[in-house]
Amino acid sequence: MMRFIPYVLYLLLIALYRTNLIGLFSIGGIEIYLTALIVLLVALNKDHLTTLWFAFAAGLIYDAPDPSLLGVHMLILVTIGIAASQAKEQLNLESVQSRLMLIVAGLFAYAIPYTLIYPTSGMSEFFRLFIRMAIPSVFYTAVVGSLYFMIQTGRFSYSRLKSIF
Amino acid sequence: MDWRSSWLKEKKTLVHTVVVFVLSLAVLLSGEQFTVITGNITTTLFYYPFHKLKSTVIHLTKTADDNAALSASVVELSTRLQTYNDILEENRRLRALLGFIPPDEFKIVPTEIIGVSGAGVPNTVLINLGAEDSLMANQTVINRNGVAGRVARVMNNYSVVYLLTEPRCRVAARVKRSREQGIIRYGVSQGMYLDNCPRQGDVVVGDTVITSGLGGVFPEGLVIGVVKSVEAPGKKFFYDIAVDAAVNFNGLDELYILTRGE
Repeated sequence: MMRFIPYVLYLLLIALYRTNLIGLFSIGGIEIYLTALIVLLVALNKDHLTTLWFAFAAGLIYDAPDPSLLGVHMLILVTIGIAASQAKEQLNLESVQSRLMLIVAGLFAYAIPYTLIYPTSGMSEFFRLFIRMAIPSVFYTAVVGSLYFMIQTGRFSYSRLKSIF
Repeated sequence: MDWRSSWLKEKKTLVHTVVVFVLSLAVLLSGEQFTVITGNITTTLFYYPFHKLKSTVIHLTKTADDNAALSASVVELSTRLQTYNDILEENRRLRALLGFIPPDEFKIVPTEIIGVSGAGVPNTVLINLGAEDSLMANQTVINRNGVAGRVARVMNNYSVVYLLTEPRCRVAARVKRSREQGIIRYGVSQGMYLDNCPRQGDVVVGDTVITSGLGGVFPEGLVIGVVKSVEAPGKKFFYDIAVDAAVNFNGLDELYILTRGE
C-alpha cells in the first residue's frame, strides 16, 4: 500500500498545479505540460504497468473538472506513457540528453492532440495555436524536465547553488 | 485452468494495456450522467482541498487587508471622535456661559445691535448680520433670558429684527405647566399678553409661558415670560392674561440668532 503514496502525491501535485499554480507559471498562455511531464518521467523511471495505470489515473484527474472531456486525456496520456515506456526498453537511455530527447518527443506527441481538443475554426488556426502556444509550451516543459534531470543527477544541488553565490 | 493463468502471466502487460485502453474508451464513450458523477467524485477528492486552500488564502489575505484598513479607520475615527468630544464639551461650556441651551437641531449665532427704534419701548432693532452671513427672515432671535423676537427683513450686511414688543410680531405660545395654548401679542396700551387662551383653561399667576413651536417660526420650549395677571372679564370667552416678558427690551445688549444646525 505504501508504494502507492508517491503516485498519489504526483496526482495531488497535478491537481494543485491545475487549481493554484498554473496561473503562476504560465507566461502569456504558454504553460507547463506538467501532467504529461510527470507521466513521461514515471515511464522513464518505473515499469510498464505502473506507467499504464498512473497515466490512466493522471488522465482521470486532469479531465475531472470538465466531465465532457473525461476519457480524452486518459487515452492521450496512456498512449504516450506506453510509447515512452516501450522506447525506454528498446533504446539506450543512459545519458540525460537521450532521456531529455525522449521527453521532448513525448511532449510533442502530447501537444498535438492537446491542441486539437481546443475548438478551432480550421487547420490554419490549429497550426497558429500549435506554433504560438504548443511548441513554446513543449520547450518550457522540457526546461522544467531538464531541471529535474539536473537535480536527479546531482548537477544542480543546494550546495552547488550556494557555491555560485 | 493452468494454461489460462500461465497465458495471463505471459501476456500480463498486454492484458493490462488492453484493460486500460478499454476502460479509457468506455469512460470517453459513457453517458453524461456517468462522466458527471465520476468528475464530481474525482474533483471532490483531488481538487476540492486545493480549491478550498486557495479560497481560504484569498479570504485570509482579503481579511488581513480589510483588517489593516479598518484599523486605520479606527485610529482616524477615534481621533475625530476625540475632536468632536472636545468641540461638544466646548459647546456645552459656551452654552452654559450664555445661560441658554438651544434646541438640539439649532445652533446660536451671536450678533451685535447696531440700531434700536421704537417709541417708549424698543420694538425694532438693527443687527450686524445679513444675507451674506446666511441669515434668513423669520429666524428666531433670543438673548440669555429668552425669546427676543424674529428676523423680519434681511439685507446683505444687516437685518431688521422685530422684537416681541412689535405688534406685528406674534408668537404661538403655551403655558409650561398646564400646556394651555395661546398667542403672545403686544399692545401699546396692554403691554405683552397671552391671547386666545379660553377661560376654561388652567392658567395661574406665576406660570411660565414658552413657545409652543406651532406656526413653524419659533422652535418649541423657549421662554417668553411669566404670567403676571389672569382675569376673566364678563362674558368674554378668553382670559385676559398679562405676561411679564423674560427679556428686558430696554436693556438689550446682546442677541443671538437661532439657525438650523449644519
